[in-house]
Amino acid sequence: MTLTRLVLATAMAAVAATAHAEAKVGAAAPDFTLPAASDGKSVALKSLLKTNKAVAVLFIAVKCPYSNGYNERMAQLAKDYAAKGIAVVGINSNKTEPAADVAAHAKQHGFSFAVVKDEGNKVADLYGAQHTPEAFVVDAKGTLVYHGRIDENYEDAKKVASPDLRTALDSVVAGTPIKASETKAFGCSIKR
Amino acid sequence: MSLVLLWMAVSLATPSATVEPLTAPDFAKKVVAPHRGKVLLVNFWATWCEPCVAEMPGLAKAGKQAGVDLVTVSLDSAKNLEPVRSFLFKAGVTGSQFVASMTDPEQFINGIDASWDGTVPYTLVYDSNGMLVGRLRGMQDDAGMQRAIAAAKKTKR
Repeated sequence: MTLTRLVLATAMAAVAATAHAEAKVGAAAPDFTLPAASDGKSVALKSLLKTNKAVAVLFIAVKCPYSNGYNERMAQLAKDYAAKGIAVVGINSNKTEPAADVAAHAKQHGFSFAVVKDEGNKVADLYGAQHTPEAFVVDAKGTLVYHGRIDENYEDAKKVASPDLRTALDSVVAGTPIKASETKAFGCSIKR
Repeated sequence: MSLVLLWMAVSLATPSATVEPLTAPDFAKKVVAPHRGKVLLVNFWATWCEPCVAEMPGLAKAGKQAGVDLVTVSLDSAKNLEPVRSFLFKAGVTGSQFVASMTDPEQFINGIDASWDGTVPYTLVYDSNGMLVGRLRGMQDDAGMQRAIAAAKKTKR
């Protein structure tokens, strides 16, 4: 291995490490307080955790077709799990999507959960969120217990074979360990 | 008749892309191996991805100017290749191109590069020995792409 290649390999390893240096499954999830896109009222993770078994944090977008493929599924998921003591928070960190657009999008798609605006993508940076949609689940102790996708099929909700986020939330509700706590999917990069 | 001949001449003279489905296990053989001997950029993109669409014409131009090969792998549905072919033609991308064929994105992502989190655009840079020497996550500007190409050209076996 030449010196040049060694330097390159080291640089690549550093880049890879940086990409995953943020929120880690099994560690404390970063706290956040952000204004709701609709009325500017503060939504705090800590407050939600006091009254829920877990909080599903979803980084979402207004204009990303991949994220929009999940609008109905996210709305339904929030309704289904509210009764089970799980709150959902949508976070929009795209600098190109103002709060008014985010609020209109949430209303249009019947989101019953809070959607907040992350100006300057500070919370996206804290979590290391890279694309939309991207899901994180924080349990009542404040530990990050799931990071990844909603499911594997953005095109067709009826053909989903691996509803990973729901499976993770079911485990939280049942008090059992989450089998697949880290999953991957494609998505639109968050515009920073 | 002369119009038909003119159309044929123009068609033959205009380079275009061929697009075929690609599974992750075929990636090394079909995408990387045929380009050994030259620096290769492999760009993962989709028509639904705005920055990917914005990046593509510049990427095609940068590749041609630098004399390196560009292979694109679209994450659009492999059931209908026409939107991909049409966009690549407009963006000036030529040669053998691909659309990901998969049932589960995670398996495809890990089959290509386990350190990739699925964000697109994503560009892998291979040196002339077919070694992976760069990973470019997100949209790249011209300068960033040139730097990555220059670094790949400097690597020696």
